[in-house]
Amino acid sequence: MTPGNPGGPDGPDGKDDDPMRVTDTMLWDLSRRNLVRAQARLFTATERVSSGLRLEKPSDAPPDVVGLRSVDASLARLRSGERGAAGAQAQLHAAEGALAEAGSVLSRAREIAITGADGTQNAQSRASLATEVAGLRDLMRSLANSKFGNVHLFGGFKTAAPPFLADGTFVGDTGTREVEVLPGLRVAANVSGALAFTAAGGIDVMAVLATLESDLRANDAAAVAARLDDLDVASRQVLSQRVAAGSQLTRVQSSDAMRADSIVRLEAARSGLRDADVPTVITEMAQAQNSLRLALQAASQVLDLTRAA
Amino acid sequence: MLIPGMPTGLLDLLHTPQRGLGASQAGLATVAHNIANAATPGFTRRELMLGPLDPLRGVDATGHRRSVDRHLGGQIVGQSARDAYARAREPWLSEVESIVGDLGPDGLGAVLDGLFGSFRGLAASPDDPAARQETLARADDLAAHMRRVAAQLGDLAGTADRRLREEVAGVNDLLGEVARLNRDIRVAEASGGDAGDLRDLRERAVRTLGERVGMRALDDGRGGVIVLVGGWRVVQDDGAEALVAVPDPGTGFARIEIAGPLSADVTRDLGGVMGAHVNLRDTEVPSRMTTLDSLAWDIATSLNARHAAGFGLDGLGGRNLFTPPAGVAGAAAALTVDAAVAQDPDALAAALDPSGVPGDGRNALELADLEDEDLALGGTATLSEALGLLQAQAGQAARQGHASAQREGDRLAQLDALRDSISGVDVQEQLMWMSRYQRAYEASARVIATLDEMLDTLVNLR
Repeated sequence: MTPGNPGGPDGPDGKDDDPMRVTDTMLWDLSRRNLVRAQARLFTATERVSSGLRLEKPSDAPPDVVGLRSVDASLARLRSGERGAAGAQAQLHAAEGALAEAGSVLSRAREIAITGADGTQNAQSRASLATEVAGLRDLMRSLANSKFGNVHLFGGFKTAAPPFLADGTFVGDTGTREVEVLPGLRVAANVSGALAFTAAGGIDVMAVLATLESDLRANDAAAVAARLDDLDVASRQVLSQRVAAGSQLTRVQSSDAMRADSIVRLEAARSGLRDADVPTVITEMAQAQNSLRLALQAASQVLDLTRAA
Repeated sequence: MLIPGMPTGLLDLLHTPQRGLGASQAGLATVAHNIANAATPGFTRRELMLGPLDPLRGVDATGHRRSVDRHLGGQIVGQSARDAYARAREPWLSEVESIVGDLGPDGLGAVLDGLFGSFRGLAASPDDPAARQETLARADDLAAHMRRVAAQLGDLAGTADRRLREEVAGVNDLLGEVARLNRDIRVAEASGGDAGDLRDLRERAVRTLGERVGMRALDDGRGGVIVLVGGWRVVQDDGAEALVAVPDPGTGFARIEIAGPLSADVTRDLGGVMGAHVNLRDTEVPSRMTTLDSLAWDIATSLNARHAAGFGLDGLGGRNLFTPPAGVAGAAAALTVDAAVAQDPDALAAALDPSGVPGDGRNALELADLEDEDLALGGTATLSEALGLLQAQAGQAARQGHASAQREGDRLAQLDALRDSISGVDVQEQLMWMSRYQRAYEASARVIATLDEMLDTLVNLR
């Protein structure tokens, strides 16, 4: 009540200009409220210092909750991309290795074809060359049936069964298995076995080797010589898929760096939203301690005064 | 010169200081009463009213004055109701917040992110039983979380309802007490007695009543108090109505009605603690539940549509991921992984083409991409944003509840201080009154001694 306030109730003696009477209950109540409030403030400050969080529950900063949610979702998405990328990388590595191996198999077949086309060879030596080619053909088929874990790398979507049968027939498909390595960026985790090894890519690699073998067995030098062109086409075909695997691998690997960058950036944003600024909260706590000490002092003086009376 | 009626003889004159002694004694008794009640809540300080007894016959204690401001009393009843409402509401809102507002790795948000992440894992290796199991587990996690949050919100509303019913008996006691005090005060004051302590008691009862039901109290101008709940007179003179909790088959919760022939529904008119219970039960929980339900509905329907467009390892399509909810209301509480999928992870539709199994994970990628689509809140927000909004709303409500509890408490403290300033006991002041009465007593005694000496002089005159 301010003195002379016309709207205020009259003083105890009916005079408006009396100062407000301050009773012991008022003093006591004031001290009590201040103590409780200082205590609560210290509690909150201590909580923030010990948890290190300024946004522990939504009411700490409601306007920041939606922002934090979207940062958390983006982080989770990046991290799930990390797993996909690691899997794709391993499969592409394996595919690239298998295709490199297939390239050397074809190089060896080319050497054999050159040898077999030589007029100095006889039927017997060509037969033994044919046997070597048969081995190369088996090797080629097993390379084309390469697995990583349980996944047949060159079968397209048909990952469960070997895509090439014993006679070289392709039973896979042309499916591209994509994974998300970064939000919105997808990379194929496989290269096409159809394009690498079958006529779909230009020439049937298994058939080229089979024909070379039968030509050698038939002791037909001219036919063997004619296979050289086919072998060159097959080599280029396998190589082009190997290059494709390599470039996909590069994309996955560069996505790793971009992802790491994004994660660092988002973690910083998240920390800005969620984590308490240490100097600030320590200062807050010191202030809260101080105000509690003052409130305690005031309370004890109020009690002393009452006792003195 | 003689004034008619003034004491004439010395013996007659002795009555004047005797009345002074009596007045001082009454003063001391008043001081003692005030000091004894200095810490009694709601006590109103007494002031002894003294008046001269003419002609020259000394002093007379005419009675006691209670120092009160009636207008302020009404304000305090209203404010303490608002304070009680805000204080009872604050912990409710914090509980709602803690149910929906977990921002950590076990919260709804992390679980939702986990499901979308598992779709990407499934897309990367749709032929891997472990990836299928993982997706299934994450979907189940999300459904279980939604169900748990819905159940906890429902339990909270149930608790509020129970607490509301429990208030009724106490409130009826208070209504009866106010009516009884109305009668006692009228009886005491009709016979010219002092009903000050009874008035203090009634003031406290009315205030407590305000804290419980937030009603209005009016002065009937004849020493009685009228109590109004939702415009109905529940206390008038010495008659009191009773409140009763009537089960509402529609909601399963209780309606608060005025018992007897009135049988008026006052549930929406309640304030104070009961009002806070009603607010949680009928407003806060339902509004969070509505948001949660529409989120669950959007999750189930949009993921189902996408999932049904894909194919499982068996080459079959058209299956749901979640059991289709019957409607938006209750969608969160009913969210479960569809039985066909739950029993067979191979039924998860990772493939976009039935001929693409087992390596085709394109539909799983499509499912994962739903994360970016505005599927919630009528196509204006992503599922994740809608969830964030729900959490922010709960946080905002808790924050506002805390602030209003503090604000109303401050206002009440101000009014209480004002009331105390007018009606409370200042011990120092009482001690000064005490010395003053003591001095007056001594002075009156001195007058008697002087008169005695004068009588002595007169008697020994010879």
